[in-house]
Amino acid sequence: MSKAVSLQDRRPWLIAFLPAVFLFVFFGLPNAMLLSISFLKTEAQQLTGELTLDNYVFLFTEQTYLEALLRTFFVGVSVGILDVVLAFPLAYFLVRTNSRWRGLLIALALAPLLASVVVRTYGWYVILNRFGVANDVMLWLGVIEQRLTLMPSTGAIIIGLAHSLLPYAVLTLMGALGGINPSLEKAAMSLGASRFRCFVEVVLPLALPGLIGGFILSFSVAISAYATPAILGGPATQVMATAIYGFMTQLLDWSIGAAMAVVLIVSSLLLFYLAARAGARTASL
Amino acid sequence: MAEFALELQGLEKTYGAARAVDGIDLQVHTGEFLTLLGPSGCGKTTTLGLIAGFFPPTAGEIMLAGKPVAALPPFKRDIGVVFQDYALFPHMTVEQNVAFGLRMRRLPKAEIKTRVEEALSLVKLTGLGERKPLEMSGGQRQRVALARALVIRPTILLLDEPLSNLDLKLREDMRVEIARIQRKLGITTVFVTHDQGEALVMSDRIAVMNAGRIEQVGPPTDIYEHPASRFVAQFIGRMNFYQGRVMDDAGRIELVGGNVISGHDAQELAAGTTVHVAVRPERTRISKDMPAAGEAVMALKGRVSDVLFLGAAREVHVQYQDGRFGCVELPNNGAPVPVAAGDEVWMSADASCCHVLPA
Repeated sequence: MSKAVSLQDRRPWLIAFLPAVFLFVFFGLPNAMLLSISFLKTEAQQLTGELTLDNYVFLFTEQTYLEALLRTFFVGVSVGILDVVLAFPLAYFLVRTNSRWRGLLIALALAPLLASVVVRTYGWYVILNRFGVANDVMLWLGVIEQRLTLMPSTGAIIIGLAHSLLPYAVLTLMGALGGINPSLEKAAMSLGASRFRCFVEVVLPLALPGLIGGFILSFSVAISAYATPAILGGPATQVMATAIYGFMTQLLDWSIGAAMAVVLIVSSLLLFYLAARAGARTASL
Repeated sequence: MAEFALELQGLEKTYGAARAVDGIDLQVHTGEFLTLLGPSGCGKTTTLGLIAGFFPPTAGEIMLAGKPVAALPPFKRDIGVVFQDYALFPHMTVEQNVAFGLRMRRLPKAEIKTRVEEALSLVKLTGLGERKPLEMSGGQRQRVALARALVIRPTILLLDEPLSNLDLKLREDMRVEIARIQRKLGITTVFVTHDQGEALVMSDRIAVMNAGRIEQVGPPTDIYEHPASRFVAQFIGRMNFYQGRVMDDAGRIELVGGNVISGHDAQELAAGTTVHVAVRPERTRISKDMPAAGEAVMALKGRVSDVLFLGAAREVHVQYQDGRFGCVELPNNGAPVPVAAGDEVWMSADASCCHVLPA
């Protein structure tokens, strides 16, 4: 009996062992290496053993890279907010509808996940470039007289990423909204709450963990995205991921690339922590 | 003051070809406790939803305190609803839950506070206002839901199977409790249930529903003692059914496989009509010898198939000569059951206890 119990107790460790080893070797160690490289000096495209903080000083003083850092977070926050706002009504509809097409509609909402990010982003390229559909339509409608440069731009990056990441926000919000008992809204209305007050007083507070979760998810994927900023952005609209790629593969300065990666990881971890704390506080309300 | 607190006029609700509520006319007096009773899918919950305004009727009108409300959304109807799953706001304390309706009515803070305290004391939850609904038992949540619906002093209180999630003992306590509060406040109440026991104990009147229509409306004793249809007869309590045929204009009935009876409750049946004769098991007697009482007593021969011990009562199941089954309920008064499985017996009942229903 006691033997069986102790086996029971040990089982979670056994299950966790293999993934833990995998994560340590392929995630923990590389990140530790990245962190240590960021404090080493690169000279003539060769990593040296000299300890230094210059890499970080360079990043935070050089305007181009400071801008890339700020642009990255601006893109992340914009995409996060845009996706949560766009996903909310869609998720609410999908959760509450009695339509017999419900399954199909959910599949449609998530269908963008089936196409590769590169394919979806080139879709936007076709629409947004100087001789693209958006310019054609606006010219034809007479809204503009000369073709506009819609991309490369930060706006194009935000549009492309918001589109790619929308399904994640929809999924997260569907989880949160699906957990709200529909009787609660009926109860609120029977007690005299208009639809709007019902939304503000009941639906929104209960959906808040889902809103925060959807935001964090879109935000964190957006700030680390590479393909979309590389296609819809340009040299003047660099983000961290494209800048890191440049340092690592073109300038062959691993030190600064690593420092930038560390800044990206640390700042997103910090935001995760803050959001998780906010989430925990609303969950305990 | 309107004559009725609630009046339903030709109320209909259809979903495609399905007629969930199929023409309901009903008046509920001020202060009355009316129960909509019926099996699941009979349209009782849909009717309640229509009264509350959760969805619009396909046809018909709803008069609340003399005013038509069918076109109004729920938040303009002045109703209190208690839901089957209580529907308490999980992110609010008990106090905040109860205060919600008052806050929506923009009452002053001080008044909200006193009224919430009153309501909580009414449902015996004084001192638990700071709790969250999830920290409470099912019975307590039920009381919070009741307080939240009552505190706004609605024109009408709507209860949607509020007891069905409670266990048996608590359910029986809450029946009495809800009826006590309802009578104390004199609030007009429409109660939806599929549980005939609840309906009989709590109601001033019962409306028995079937397939989207009301089959019979009346006080519990009327519904039980004088069912108007075969459906009501078999849905409320238990009932033995026998087939019969009206013999003459005097209304004498010949039972298939039995004797001729007169003096039953049927009125004006044409000779030759086929009818159901319904008798309650607790009004039925069982004996080994043929009862001799002429047309004042119905008598039917059969064979005992089972004797069941239920605690407070015993049930004798009898198969008649035509293959149908019936049963007799004998109170457990200490006397042994006079028959055993396999015995040839006579089932009998006074003709005055026989309900004659159209076939």
